Amino acid sequence: MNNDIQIFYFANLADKLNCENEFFPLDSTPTTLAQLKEQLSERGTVWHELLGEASTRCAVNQAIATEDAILKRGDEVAFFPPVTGG
Amino acid sequence: MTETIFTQQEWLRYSRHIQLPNFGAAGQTKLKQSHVVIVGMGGLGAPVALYLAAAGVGKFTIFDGDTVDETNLQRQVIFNQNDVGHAKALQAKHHMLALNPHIHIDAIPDFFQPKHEALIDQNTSLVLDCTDNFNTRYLINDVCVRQKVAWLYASIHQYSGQCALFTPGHACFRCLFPAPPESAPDCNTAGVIGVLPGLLGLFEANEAIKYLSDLPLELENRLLLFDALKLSVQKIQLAIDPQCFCQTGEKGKFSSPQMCAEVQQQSISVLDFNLHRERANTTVIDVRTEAERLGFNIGGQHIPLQEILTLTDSNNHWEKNRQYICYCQSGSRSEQAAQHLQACGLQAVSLDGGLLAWLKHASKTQMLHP
Ligand SMILES: [Zn+2]
Repeated sequence: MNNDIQIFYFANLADKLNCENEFFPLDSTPTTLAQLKEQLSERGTVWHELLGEASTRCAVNQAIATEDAILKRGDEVAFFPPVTGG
Repeated sequence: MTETIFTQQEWLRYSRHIQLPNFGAAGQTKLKQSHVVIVGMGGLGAPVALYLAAAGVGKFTIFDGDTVDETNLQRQVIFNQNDVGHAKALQAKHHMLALNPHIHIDAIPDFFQPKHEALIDQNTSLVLDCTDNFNTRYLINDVCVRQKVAWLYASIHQYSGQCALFTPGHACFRCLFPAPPESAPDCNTAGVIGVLPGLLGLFEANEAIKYLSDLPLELENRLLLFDALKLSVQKIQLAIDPQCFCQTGEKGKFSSPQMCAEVQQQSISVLDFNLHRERANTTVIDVRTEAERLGFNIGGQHIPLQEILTLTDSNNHWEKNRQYICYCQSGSRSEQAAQHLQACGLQAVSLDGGLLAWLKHASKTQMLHP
């Protein structure tokens, strides 16, 4: 039994991180959204900067989530930025 | 015949709505009695305006302070070649009325600004955000929260789009995005696939018609994330942020949203200069020396370059929503001036080729005086 969650990256996050979606193993439970962001940020500066931007929002299982949200196996996490064009 | 809500011609025109299950005469009547405000008549506004006009929404107020340019025609399908150089709001009104003469339109050839707040009130059924910047979206949000009016948000970037319906009592736009985007480069990649604003505009128009005719809503308090390449859609449930001004009423704690660092044009042609300078929200500035100014000028205010370069962004004699056009003799000092004003957060451009280019053009077209 794996501990994977699925992560989606939207709009320019997908471009800049060069990743549209991935399966990610939770190394401990419980893991909070803030902890997940920390783990992903260890991948490098781009990850650190983009996920740390105040305007980058996150949803868990299709609902807006705050940093203290607790993740569990099978959850779907989405990171998305505001887009501005028209 | 007794007096009816619809004329004979309208009843025929809207028959496909009237025969639609769950819509019918009642839905069509609600559309006719609605007043929508469309802010922005660009890639999103074009399909929104066309489809809502065709659908028979009774009353419109439309805003856009811009003029149609050639590059708009790749996606702003309400306009055609003959509209180039003319005010978007007025041309859009013209085309909407040509499509449906049974509707009323107030066209405001100006950008939506705080001074227009009074135009959104309890008689407004719905506001549609069809703008291209965060400043205006925050303004629409704040006005709609205050006036308890529902509004639809849509925006696009390259191949991605977002759309949401904000209604009183639910999360507002600042609950969703308390901070504007930080990374300016996003705005600098101005390319967009032409149908994307069309798709997002139609998501807005679809949700608008459902909202106005009391059909079930899919995007109320939800954000649609759309990807045009993968054709994938996600709908995210929104949540009220207890810290947000819509809950606390404390407007002041929010720093004023920064203008998204849109690609600001550095210079404009003589033709555009002549068009733009007539606008109420434009100020022309002669940045040359006193001697040159006295020697000959084509109007505008006189503020020498050296004085402009001492400005800081805290200076409040300048208006963020005003377009400043700088000119000098041949265009290089005015370019410096425009760049500095832009760095101070203002909208500024330089007359390409300066006074010389203007004079050459004027002599060619026999236009001897400004
Ligand atoms: Zn709010």
